Amino acid sequence: MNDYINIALPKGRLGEKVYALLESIGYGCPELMGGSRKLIFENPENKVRYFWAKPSDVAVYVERGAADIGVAGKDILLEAGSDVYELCDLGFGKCRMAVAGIKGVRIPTDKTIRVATKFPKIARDYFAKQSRDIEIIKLNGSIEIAPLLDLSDVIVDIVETGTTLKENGLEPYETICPISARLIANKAAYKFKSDSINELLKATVDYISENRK
Amino acid sequence: MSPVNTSLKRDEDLIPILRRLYESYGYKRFKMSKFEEYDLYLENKAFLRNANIITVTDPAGRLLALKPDITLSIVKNVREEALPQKVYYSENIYLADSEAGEIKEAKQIGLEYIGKLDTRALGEILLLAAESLENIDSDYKIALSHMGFVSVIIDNCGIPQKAKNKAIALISEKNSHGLRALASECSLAESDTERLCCLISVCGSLCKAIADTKELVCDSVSEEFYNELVELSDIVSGFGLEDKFILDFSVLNDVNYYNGLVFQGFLSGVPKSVLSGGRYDNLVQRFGCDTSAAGFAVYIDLLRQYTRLDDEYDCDILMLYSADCNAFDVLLKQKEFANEGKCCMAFLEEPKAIKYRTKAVFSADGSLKYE
Repeated sequence: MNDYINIALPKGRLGEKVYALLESIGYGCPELMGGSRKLIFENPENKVRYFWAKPSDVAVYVERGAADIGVAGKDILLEAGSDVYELCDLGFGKCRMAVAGIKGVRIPTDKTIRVATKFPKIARDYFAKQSRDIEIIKLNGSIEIAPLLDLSDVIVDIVETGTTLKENGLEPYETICPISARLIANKAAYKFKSDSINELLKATVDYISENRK
Repeated sequence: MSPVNTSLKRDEDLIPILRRLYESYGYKRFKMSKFEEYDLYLENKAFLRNANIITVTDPAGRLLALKPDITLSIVKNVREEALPQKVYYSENIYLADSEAGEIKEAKQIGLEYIGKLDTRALGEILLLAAESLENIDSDYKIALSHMGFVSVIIDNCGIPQKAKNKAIALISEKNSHGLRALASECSLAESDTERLCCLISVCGSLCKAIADTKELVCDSVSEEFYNELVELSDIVSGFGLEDKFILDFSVLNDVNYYNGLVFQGFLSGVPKSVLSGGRYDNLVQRFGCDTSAAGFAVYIDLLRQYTRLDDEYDCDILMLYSADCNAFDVLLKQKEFANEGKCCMAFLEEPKAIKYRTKAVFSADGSLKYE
């Protein structure tokens, strides 16, 4: 049981892409994509055990040791402040965390900024660094509508292409940080399985640099 | 999915074992009050693992804190004329988890060695850390690192002071892509960037990692620190513990307090470090004591969370007796079982809720019949 690597994958397109990568470097698990109703998938040949998790939960599974490694977006890691190893930038799901608002309007400097966001910690940290006073309005979706209805002055959200913003008369003002999928590991599990985790890491890094060429 | 380690010792059983262990090396018990003046923590916030402190006001209007840390309380009372001081403690600490809105009480046991430290003294601390974990479960690892060494290498590679804490944070995340980005922001030469990233990639079995680390040595200070790691590695290997110790520079503490050896202990099946320690000369010197100090703490509360108790049965033997039995005889039989180390419960009627391994009926003639 203990010599398996337990891997948490985010449900959805990103997770499937990551699995395709892992499969191609020798960590396949045929059951996983077979449409089975099982929750946990094992391949005794290469000693891997996979399970799917909600993307925002992957870091929790890894931090608490239910999975040895996993894949999570940098946005989620920053927001949760997860205490995990961030072993490698997979380069998938590239986008950026940005402050955005109505096109042509500047971030107010003479009052408390109302910030609508799904990422209160990231927003708070970013504006605290600039010594700005903000009021967080925590929303769970459709963030873009907030400035249009004057619910907020700005939003802090993930911007991929900027099309949604543009179509609604919004624009990104400032980039907070680039975002992409990261391979993460539990700090304690790594101490016991460093050989096998490093082997997987090396193969992953090689694969990524190979495919970037 | 990680296997729950059923062989972990229960925390209550562990405390007397660890106390005896520390006492046998001359560490004296240090008992303290639950409260400490809040200012102590305010002035040393970065030393604390968790900075959310629970405060109370005493009748005189002084602001007190429920102790979030033990080491600070020991160190602030140290007097130079009383050195060397070897103490151990077994105390509760109190933490507030502001996100979960909870306050927590957590048991810690640990020791501090305050006074001149040489390789022997550091070796003693490492061996006691290893033996502490061995007493909990033999499947453990201790990751060694060196704050002084890492700090010298970071400076030597050309990371400016203002970016140093960021570099340390990235190394402790093993985030080599982030470290490379920081290096390029600071316009480091490629060879320096590679050396910096070596701090992440060098890790694993003591013997090989120590050999790999040698390449990082760049001046007399780093050489001195390196030699200290080599000597300590030889000591633990000499005691047959080379497969229990690993070298991992991602194990780091606050550079303002820790200046030398740092280490963390891990148990298989527990997702966080259960032991943490290091050398903190900078802290004792802040309190005006020109000496060195090192120690470690074992997070007993974590063990409680990850131990699954074998409580399938309430007793080994359920003994049923009738009203005409002599109470003395029944009690004598119970005591016999207790002396054999078996748990025996005696009842007139069989209770529904009690789970037992074997059932026996005690008769008035003093005989016992197993069912």
